[in-house]
Amino acid sequence: MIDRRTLLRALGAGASVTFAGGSIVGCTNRPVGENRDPNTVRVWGIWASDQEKEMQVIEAFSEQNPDVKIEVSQVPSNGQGDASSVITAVRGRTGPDIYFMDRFNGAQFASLGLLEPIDGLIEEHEDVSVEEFMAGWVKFATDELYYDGQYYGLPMDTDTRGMYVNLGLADEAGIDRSLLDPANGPMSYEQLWEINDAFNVQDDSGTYEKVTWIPWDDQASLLMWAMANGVTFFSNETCHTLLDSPEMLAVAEMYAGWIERLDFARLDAFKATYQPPNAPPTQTSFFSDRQLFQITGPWGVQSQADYKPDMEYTVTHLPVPEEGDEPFTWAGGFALTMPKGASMSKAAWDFFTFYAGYEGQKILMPQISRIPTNIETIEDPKGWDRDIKFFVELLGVAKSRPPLPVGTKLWDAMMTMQGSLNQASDTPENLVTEAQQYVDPTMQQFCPVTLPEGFGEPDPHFPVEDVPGA
Amino acid sequence: MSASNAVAADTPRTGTSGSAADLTARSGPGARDGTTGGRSGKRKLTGREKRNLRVGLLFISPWIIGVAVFVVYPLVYSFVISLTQYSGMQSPTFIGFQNYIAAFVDPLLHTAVGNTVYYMLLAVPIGLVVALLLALAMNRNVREVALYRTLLYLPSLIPMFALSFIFIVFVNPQYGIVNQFLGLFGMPATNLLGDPRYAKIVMIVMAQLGAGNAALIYLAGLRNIPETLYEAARIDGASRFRQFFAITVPLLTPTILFNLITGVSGAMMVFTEAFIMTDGGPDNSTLFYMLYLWRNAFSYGQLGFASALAVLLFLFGMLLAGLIYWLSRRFVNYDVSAG
Repeated sequence: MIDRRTLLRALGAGASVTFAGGSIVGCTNRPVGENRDPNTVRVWGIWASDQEKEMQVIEAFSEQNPDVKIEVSQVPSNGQGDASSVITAVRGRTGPDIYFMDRFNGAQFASLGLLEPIDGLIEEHEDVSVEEFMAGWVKFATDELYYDGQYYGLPMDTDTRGMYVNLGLADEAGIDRSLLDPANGPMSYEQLWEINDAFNVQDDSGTYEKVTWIPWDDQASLLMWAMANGVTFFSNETCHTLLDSPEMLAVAEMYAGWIERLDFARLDAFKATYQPPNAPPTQTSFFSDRQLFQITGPWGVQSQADYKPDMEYTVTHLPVPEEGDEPFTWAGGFALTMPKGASMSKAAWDFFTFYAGYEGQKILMPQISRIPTNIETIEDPKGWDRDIKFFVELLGVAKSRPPLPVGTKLWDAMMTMQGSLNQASDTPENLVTEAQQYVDPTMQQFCPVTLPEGFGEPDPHFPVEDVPGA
Repeated sequence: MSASNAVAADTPRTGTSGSAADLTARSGPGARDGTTGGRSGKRKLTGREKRNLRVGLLFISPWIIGVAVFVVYPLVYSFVISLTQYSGMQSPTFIGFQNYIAAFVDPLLHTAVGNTVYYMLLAVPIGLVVALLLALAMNRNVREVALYRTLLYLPSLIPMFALSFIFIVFVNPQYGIVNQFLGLFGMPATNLLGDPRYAKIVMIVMAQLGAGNAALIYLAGLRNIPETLYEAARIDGASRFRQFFAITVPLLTPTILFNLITGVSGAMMVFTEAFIMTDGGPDNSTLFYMLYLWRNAFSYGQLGFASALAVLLFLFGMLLAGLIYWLSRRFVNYDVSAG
């Protein structure tokens, strides 16, 4: 039997060892903030495939600013809300001065204290007010970087969605090409189903050989259909998420009906057959002439040119609930931010505004088939690849995800709901209730929070009337 | 009487406690004065013993520091953080046991626990059997045994993330070897990873490719069993089947216990394959505990809640290990190793 003295000794020894361990773990004096070399800017840059294009931006900046040293590491944001790399780096005081990240995590990362607000830098180095300065970029994109009265970064690119059409298959199915012309407006769900029922091909065992569309494929998702049907995900008045609203329930029920009609298991097997996870970019069900419609972003234009140059295709609007409805699309994109511990120096700010501003975007955007977010760059005919003109025109009807501190959790909740509806494992009523229960308690930790003023309203730079077919 | 029964009859079943008591009697602090420690049995260490103690502590100091830095400190820190609302960046806010209460009512956590227990209940026993079969194959007295051992062990060298990518190809509905085999029986092409009924099964099957590690430990155990016992059994006319269940299995029970504990521990922390192959889907059917914990920590920035999940996992693991050890007194035989 252990006696009292031995127990106390053991506890004392344990505490000493733990303290020693903690001291070793917490022992670091790497410089952060203003203690960093102000003329060295450490950047966590874009994905490896575009590294060379990013270098052109850096070279252009270095020519103008020979005293500033730019150090780039390729640590791209993975877009799934995974902040493990930046959290651990910032905690270990090895975080970058400038971080290229998926913009939809902006409000969340800001709410966690992972990002520094840039308002102070704008006030210090620019001759205009914060609002006036930020008005130089597309509004929905700056909205995604706004949290609790401050801005946390500058938007880089954006990426509206459209529906790519394999015209060879469309002709084969006898589809009137005027229906696919964006100038004639979007097709309705009903028209889409008519095509679907006429086009889909199954073999004797019911296995799909050719399909019209897949409601969850690529850039399509329950979240997208919810936005298309006007669902709002958050109430400024009550500071509650609205995942169990009647509008969301109606979309979930509609989606469940689609899944039942298409037979998820067979459609899923079709997709896994012709485009398994991690398949090379050349191996898609759309490129293999087995899928009539594919919903994706402007980067698809470059992919078509690279991997399927012989396909005759067009891009049209996403389908809408009723014939005659206004066109709709949704947009996301990336941003430059400054994580906690960044130097926040003049040199870093100069590079920041160069990279995400007119000059940087003009160099980068035409090469990566993305839409600039800097208004001046959009207005410059050489600011982007003219082959993605339709996607740029769609900016007038683009919606974006609400910038909330629970952005990733909301996304996961929607994906969970989508997965359950695909499997028909629960009723839409239960699923919307569970989604709300999953997200809203975390949301309450951050209340009161309001969305940026004018969130969801059209950007004055891009009138709806300019959108083809609107 | 069979050979194993003869062995069992000669030694007490509680071999561990018997051996420990013997060791204590031979070399413990009370060995010289006839006591077994306690206040009355205290005596001062001699200079030589003190020096030995210092040198001994010095030798194991890297381990002690390693445990302090990488086990004790994170454990204590994790518990402290679990009582707070903490994003990893801002100062933690003390909220008592709210994270634990939230964990108990979190429906997705219930799903994650269910998935993990399901995985553990199937993957661990199957793994024990597969590893034992591999070990028996590796232990065959044939000329090319070294080659067979290498071949059987090779899959264990493949990192789990690489294996995950390979399995994605294996289970492809059209090209995958699995579906082609099932197709021979007229089954339609199925996306096994896209179906909640099969996704976990795929991962359980995949886990068996890592059985080589456990098999090596079994092999060491097998080679520790004295050949004389088998000779005696053969003389008594015992069949191979009888020899296996009366000698091999009882004398391998310490090894089985070790593999069971490590297997359960590994199953509780299954992560990589679900992260790579399905990201927890379809329909959360592969949302394992660790994946959910990771998601809370690094996707949602809820480090306080994630720490509470880590503490709960630790407590459950300790409880389970204690239960297994307690139960092991009924089935583990240390006769040969205590020998």
